[in-house]
Amino acid sequence: MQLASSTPSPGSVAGEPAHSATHARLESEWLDPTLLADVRRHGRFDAHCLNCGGCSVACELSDESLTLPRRPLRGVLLGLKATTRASLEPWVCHDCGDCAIACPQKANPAESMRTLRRYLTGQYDFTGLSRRILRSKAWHLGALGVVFAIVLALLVVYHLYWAELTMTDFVGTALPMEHMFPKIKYFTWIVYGIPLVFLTLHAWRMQRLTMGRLGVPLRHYFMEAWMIFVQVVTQKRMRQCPAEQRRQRALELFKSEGKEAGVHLVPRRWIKHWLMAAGTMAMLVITGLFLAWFQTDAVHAWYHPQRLLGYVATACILWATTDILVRRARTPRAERRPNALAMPLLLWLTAVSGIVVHVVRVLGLELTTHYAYAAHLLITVPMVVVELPFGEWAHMIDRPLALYFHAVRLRAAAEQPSEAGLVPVHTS
Amino acid sequence: MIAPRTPPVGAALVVGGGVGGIQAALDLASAGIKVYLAEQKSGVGGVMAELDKTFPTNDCAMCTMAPRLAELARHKDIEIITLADIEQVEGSAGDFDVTLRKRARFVDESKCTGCAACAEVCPVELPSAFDHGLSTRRAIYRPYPQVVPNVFAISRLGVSPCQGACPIHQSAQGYVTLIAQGRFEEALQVILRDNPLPSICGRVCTHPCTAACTRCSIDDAVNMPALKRFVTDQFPGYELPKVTVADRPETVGIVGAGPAGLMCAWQLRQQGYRPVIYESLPVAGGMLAAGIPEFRLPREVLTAEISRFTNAGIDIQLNTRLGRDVTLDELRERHAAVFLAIGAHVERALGVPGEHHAGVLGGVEFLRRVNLEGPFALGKRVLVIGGGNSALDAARTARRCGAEQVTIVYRRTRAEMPADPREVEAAENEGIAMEFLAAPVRFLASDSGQVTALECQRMRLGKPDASGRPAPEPIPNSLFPIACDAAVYTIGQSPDIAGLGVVNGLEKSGRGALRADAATLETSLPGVFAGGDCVTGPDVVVTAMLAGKKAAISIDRWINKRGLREGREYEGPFKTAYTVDTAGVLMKREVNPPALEALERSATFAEVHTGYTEEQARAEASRCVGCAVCCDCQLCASVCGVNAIDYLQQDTRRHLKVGAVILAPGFEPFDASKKKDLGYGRFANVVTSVQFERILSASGPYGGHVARPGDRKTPQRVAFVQCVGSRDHERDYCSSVCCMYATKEALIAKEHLGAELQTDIYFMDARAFGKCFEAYYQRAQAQGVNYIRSRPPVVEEVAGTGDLRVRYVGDDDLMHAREYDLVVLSVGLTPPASAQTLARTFGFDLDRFGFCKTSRLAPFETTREGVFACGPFTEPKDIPETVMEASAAASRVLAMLGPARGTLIAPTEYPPERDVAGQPPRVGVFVCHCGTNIGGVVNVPSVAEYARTLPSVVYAEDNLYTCSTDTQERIKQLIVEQDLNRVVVASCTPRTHEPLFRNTCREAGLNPYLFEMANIRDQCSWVHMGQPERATEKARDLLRMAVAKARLLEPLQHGHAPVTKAALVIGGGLSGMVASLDLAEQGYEVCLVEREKQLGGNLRRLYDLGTGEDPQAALQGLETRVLGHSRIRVLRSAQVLHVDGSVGSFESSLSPNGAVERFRHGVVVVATGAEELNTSEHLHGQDHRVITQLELEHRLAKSGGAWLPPTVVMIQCVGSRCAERPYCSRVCCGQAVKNALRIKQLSPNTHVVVLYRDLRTYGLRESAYTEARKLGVVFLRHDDADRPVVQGHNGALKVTVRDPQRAHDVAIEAGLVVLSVATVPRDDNTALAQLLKVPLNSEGFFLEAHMKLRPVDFATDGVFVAGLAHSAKAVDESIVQAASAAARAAGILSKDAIELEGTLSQVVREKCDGCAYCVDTCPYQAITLIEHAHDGVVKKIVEVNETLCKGCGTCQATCPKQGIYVRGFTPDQLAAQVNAALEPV
Repeated sequence: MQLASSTPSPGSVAGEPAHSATHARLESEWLDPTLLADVRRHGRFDAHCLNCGGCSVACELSDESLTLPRRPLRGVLLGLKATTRASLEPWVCHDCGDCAIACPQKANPAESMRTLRRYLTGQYDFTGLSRRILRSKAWHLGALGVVFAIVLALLVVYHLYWAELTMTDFVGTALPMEHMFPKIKYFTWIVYGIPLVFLTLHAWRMQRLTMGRLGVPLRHYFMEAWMIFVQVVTQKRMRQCPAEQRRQRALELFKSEGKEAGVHLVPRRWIKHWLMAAGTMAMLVITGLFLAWFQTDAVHAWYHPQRLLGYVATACILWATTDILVRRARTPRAERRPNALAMPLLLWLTAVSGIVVHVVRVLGLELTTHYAYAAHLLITVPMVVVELPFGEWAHMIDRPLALYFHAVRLRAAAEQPSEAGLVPVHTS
Repeated sequence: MIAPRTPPVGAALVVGGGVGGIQAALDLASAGIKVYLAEQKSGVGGVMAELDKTFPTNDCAMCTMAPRLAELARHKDIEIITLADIEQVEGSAGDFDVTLRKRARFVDESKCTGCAACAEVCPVELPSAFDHGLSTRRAIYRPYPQVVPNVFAISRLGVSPCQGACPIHQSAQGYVTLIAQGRFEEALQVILRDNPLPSICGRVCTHPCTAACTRCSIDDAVNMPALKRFVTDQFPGYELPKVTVADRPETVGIVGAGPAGLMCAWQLRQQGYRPVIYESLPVAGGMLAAGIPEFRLPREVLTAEISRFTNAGIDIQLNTRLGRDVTLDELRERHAAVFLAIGAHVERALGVPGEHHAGVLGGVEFLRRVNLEGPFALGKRVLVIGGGNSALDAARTARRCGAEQVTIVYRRTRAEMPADPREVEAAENEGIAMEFLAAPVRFLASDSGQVTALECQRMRLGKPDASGRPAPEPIPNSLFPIACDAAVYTIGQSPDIAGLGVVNGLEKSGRGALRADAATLETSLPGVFAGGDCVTGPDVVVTAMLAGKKAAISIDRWINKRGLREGREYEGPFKTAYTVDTAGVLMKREVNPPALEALERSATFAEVHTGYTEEQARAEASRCVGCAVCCDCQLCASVCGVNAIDYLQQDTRRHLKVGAVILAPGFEPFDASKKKDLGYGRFANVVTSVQFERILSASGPYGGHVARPGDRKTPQRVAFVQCVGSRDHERDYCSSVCCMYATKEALIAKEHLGAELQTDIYFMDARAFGKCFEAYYQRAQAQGVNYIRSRPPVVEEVAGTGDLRVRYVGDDDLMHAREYDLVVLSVGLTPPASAQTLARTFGFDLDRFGFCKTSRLAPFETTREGVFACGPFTEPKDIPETVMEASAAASRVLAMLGPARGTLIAPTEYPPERDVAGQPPRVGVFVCHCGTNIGGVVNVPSVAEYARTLPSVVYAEDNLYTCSTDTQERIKQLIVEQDLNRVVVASCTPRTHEPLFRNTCREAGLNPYLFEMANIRDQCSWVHMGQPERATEKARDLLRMAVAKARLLEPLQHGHAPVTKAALVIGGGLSGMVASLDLAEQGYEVCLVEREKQLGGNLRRLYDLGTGEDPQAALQGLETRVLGHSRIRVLRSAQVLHVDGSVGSFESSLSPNGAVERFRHGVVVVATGAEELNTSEHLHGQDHRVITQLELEHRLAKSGGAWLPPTVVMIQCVGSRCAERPYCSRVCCGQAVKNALRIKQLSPNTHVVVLYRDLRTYGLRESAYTEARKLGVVFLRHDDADRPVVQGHNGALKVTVRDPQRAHDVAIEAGLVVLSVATVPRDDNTALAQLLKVPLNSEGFFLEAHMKLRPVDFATDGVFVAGLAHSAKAVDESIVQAASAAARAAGILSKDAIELEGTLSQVVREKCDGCAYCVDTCPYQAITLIEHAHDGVVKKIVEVNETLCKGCGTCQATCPKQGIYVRGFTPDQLAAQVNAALEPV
């Protein structure tokens, strides 16, 4: 970690830049006293922080350009709504939990950061659906239920009126495969199209909220564009999150003092998360862009790249989601964030139902395959349509974008310190 | 208050001897209550004694406290019980039965004079608790030099495991400790105390001590035998200690000069007996001489040892065999008693065929012949049968006698061999072979009868037998021969009692030994005792010595016709009754004693072991872990001049009957090692604040030189980390004192090391809330103490430098790291370790943190009636609050025990005073050695000698300790015998000892002022340690001066000022009412003057205390009680017009409703209160939506929460902490938090934003702050310079403030702005202060006598202050101070008259011309100018008010005409002293 100057100078010297480079300077901001309550509707957010800064010292990701997690949390506690909505720090945090160990007040800043991210996801979504879904179990399940019902209806309608099948066909006969994959292409595109549209709007709004007032020249966005790719593919930032070993030590220390652990250890969590993300991403790409190749009636040999790719992606998803499910299920109910189980469960079910579809199809059980595929769609489509743009999954785009914007801000600040209230980065 | 039942007990118990306990004890005792002060430690003083300076005045803590300690020590009605634990409490308020256990001190408190000679010789060094581990103290110690009682104590757990295991209970830890320090001669003396045969024992004793050594569980036992031998080797010519008692006529006959006989003889010799030893062999030593080969115990060592016995007067008659040369009857006739210690010299037969063949012989015989006649060859191949030490001795001797092949035949295996494994190994190295699992069956012989082989049976190990070892079982058909030229069997010896003849009626035991009583060693013949191998069968040296020791005790008792049996259990064996904590002891293997090479040594009889070098010995000895703490070397006892050391002291139990209890157990500093990340305990240069306090102290570990512990480097950069163990999740309270003490320590460190010292204080809120604290904090900032608003979670060490790195996120919200030489952790206050026990024993409740539970309205009452608590035991707090609470608790006790006051205190009776008027001076001089304190430097006898030559001196002597009880008696006797009328003592300091000697004079019928003291210790021997001759000269000078003055001394009498038992209380608010009630309940008349129409003051405006208690109900209750009390007169709408007189007899003019009334009283309590600042800041008074906290409180109480707007903004520090009022109003933060919580309670959706500079919710108020944050109350800090701005904005209020962390402004739309306005002193304080002749501080509040220890007193006696008139404070604090003022006032009112000092100012009427120079200079305003008619003209003269005068002498120094002087310091006396100093000698 890099540190600011260690020469003896008082903590805050008049005249020196007194705040970090990446924050817009706002001359006067109205304090919104409802902010904390609003954020708290997205999960737990302990307010008894003493503003001591211990959490930020403990955070491995804090550096001279940004201070985690005190600064964003403090913004919420004070009621600085505009600042909070413009902040990118919550996305830089990768939830290692060190701050929760360090906090002398046991105010669990790590959990507050999670809550804050949920809040921000809701803020980026202009429809307001996201806010409702993230805050309310009823809305969440309702949304999933509605999409489920629509898909079910579509399935019935399709079979009865488009494919003109009778009920007896459903019940008794062997259905040929051609009713399935070749015809589902457009449906799939529509299904992927919906979240894509919303996510684009989501990203645009996020840019407005976080970067809008800074007026950073467009070229900086281009210069840093590769950042999105890097972050999506490598999840580099997460890997910078503190080494597990060190956390293990801290945890032992914690336990030796007879305290309950406030965090859950995830050994090699970057790998796990990467596998899950990569698997999911791969699946999305295959099913979205290479549908014809992937969803085909042809059963390739087991070593065919099409099959192998599918297997690998499925295995990744299955393993990672199982792990997450087990872990989250073990967390006491009181400490679990709302709907913590929904997302991994849906993903897990998707993988499992996908496997079932694949197995029965390879076995040539045509009718069963039909039913299994219907079930698969009933699980997958609501997940993609609801979770991706409005639910927890939105972080797939929020995180890389935030890191990208952060890089853009840094670049802009380094180049044009005077512009847009940006101050130069302390170089060391 | 309790209703009086049966008359209460007129005594009280105070638990805890810190400032709180001391204050409570003094207040109670001075008002006539007998006090027991129980302290867990060995002396009182508490934490304040450890402090260097006190804030905010930077006074020396010890200097402030020492007079208080001295007062405590000599108060006749206070009994200090140290090392006391409360065990049980029975009974109820007014009549408690308390059982306490007083742990043994091992020093007689009544004898010890505190001279410290013992600590100088004590070899045991321990980490000093007083210096918090930064220095060491000895096992015999006193925590600090000024401690009360000024006596030493020994940290002594009892018998160490080694000492317990030793049959003769040698102080093994003692000599080992001394060896480790290179003090070999003292080590030898310690050894010789118990053991007259050390050079032998160091070589051949089996040393059971080593098996018990605690180090066995770590690595190896400390090699005590080798160490003992080493010591004796250093002093080859040593002798046994001189016999100090007179010779006795009785002689004792001892048969056998073995270890038992020798030991017995020496023990008896020490008692003055003349023992005679009869030895059958031509040499003395018994088995030592005959059985132990020379290579283990050289002859010259043995001979030298024996000669020491004969040198000591013990007669050894060799070649005298009992039964042959002398008979038992003859011995019985010849001697007063007889001890039979003939040993066991007969080898037991092997019992196999062929053992009489030539070449087969017993080990005893073989060794005896070699030892006495010299080596002889046995043959080339020698078998030795047996597995004990004798077998090894025989085998190794045979080897040295030329045998080529020596084989030990043993029926079990090596593991079962009883011999010392080291000896076995040594034998093997010398080439001795072992044949295990072979049992001899028969010897085979040649025709000539010469043995040729031993036929053996092969054995195997079976089940364990009675000895616990596996029993060998024969393997059938496994006979095999071992060829040999000779065989030695060593399977055991028995005593040769056949030679004694069973005649004479001596009984035998079954095993062929003598029968003797196990405890007393009596035989069946009266006066004949037996012990050692001849009774027990063969055993080791030290067991025989034990027998000798026991026999000597029995014989002494027998001769003196005392019972032989009782009390023998005290001789041991001793069990170690404690466990030794070896955690953290480092592995360090034994230093192997050097020995000759195996090949080299096996050919000669030269001693195998060559002995440790000095270096090796010290290294080995330093491995001792010091199990018993006190090592029992008893050196302290040997140097103690007053025989105060008592190792046999036991814990005792005491039962006390007391009417009430005040608990003042103090606090425990937070254990900083619990915060592992901060590095305490891991990094040498991370210290706690209490340690740093000691580092700063001149009496501290580095003598006041500020250094860091790691390398004693002078630090240039020091960091203070605040809130260590405070304000966290587990301890949701503020420790209240840390911000200030860190500030103080930073300032003092700068004072020591220069202004350029970098001092950074890491803090969250600067809690400078106390009186004058804010100014102190500002001053610190001005002097460069740097405050960094952050709480660093981690301190790291910079590798290799010992420097430390602190990482923090500053107010700029950026990460920083700074490096320091020293990091000080400001540790918080946690409940005392004894809290749980006290709560259980007394049956009261603790709060969730473990502090004693109290309430805001009864802040010093526990939940058990009659048991009060004060100080940090109830909540973390500073010294003045502690002192006030102690007095307050005392006030309640005084009210409770009122009827019994004075019943348990005994007036001291003195003999009538002798009239010495007109007598020529007859001076007696006593010069003190003070142990070695003076005597070690000054030639004291010569000073005493010199004294005799001085004029008027009729008697002079020198004493080891003039202050010891027996010398005091002697002085009294001499005053009478020698008809002395002046006494001079040349010794230590009058500060501690003058009262004692004056009292001695008084007890001898002499006026106490006929005493004079010369300080030849502090001012002479201590400061001129290196120049003894010149010091002696100076001592003479000092003494001569004292005598010169003494000759002119005159008797002085104490004046008395009568006391009017009534009090005037000015101010009818909470403080005034509480003070009035307390005084009235204690039985004094009170006049309460209130200028308003009704009582209550500011309390009328409070509706909520944040604790659920209702202040208005409390107010009503108080008012009813005050108005209804028969002894309280309430004057409302009244003012004090005039106050005359002084302590004890004031007279005031009061004006109730315009009338004027006079009131006579003995004391005044000022409780005039303060008021809320009337401000126009922040639109107050212009906009109705801007109100004060008190107004808000009123509206919340009256109108509930419905009227509240959506957002309420509170602004702190309105009118406080500003240029105009540079003080903190203390209560506002707590009030804001309380009101915010109230708002959240009444209207949960109302948003509250508190704008503050430092949130000062000190003590347990912190929890409310946490609670408010949890509920979402927004606390927004702003910098001191960036004050919030309140403006109108679209019909609402806009509050703008700068957020320092983001450096931008934040605007809040407020429906209501609440101002926390300053508490300001009343305007008329100045007038009242002038009336009462008491001072105000620059802020306009009344200024107490001393900020720490006299917080309710004024420098003017008889006037006290309480409540807001003193400074801003909360309800509970006002109650405390009011009750405290009542207690202090009661100290005066309880007396019928005030005894004045004898040494006060005296006006010389003839010389005073009324120039009045002295009037203004008198610091106590005790002098007034009066006019009187003299010879028809009006003459001016000054007059001294003796109740105000303190005898300081300022007037005397000012007067140009010698018209005023201080009695006891007359110009004549002083002149005589000066002349004596200048006199040529």
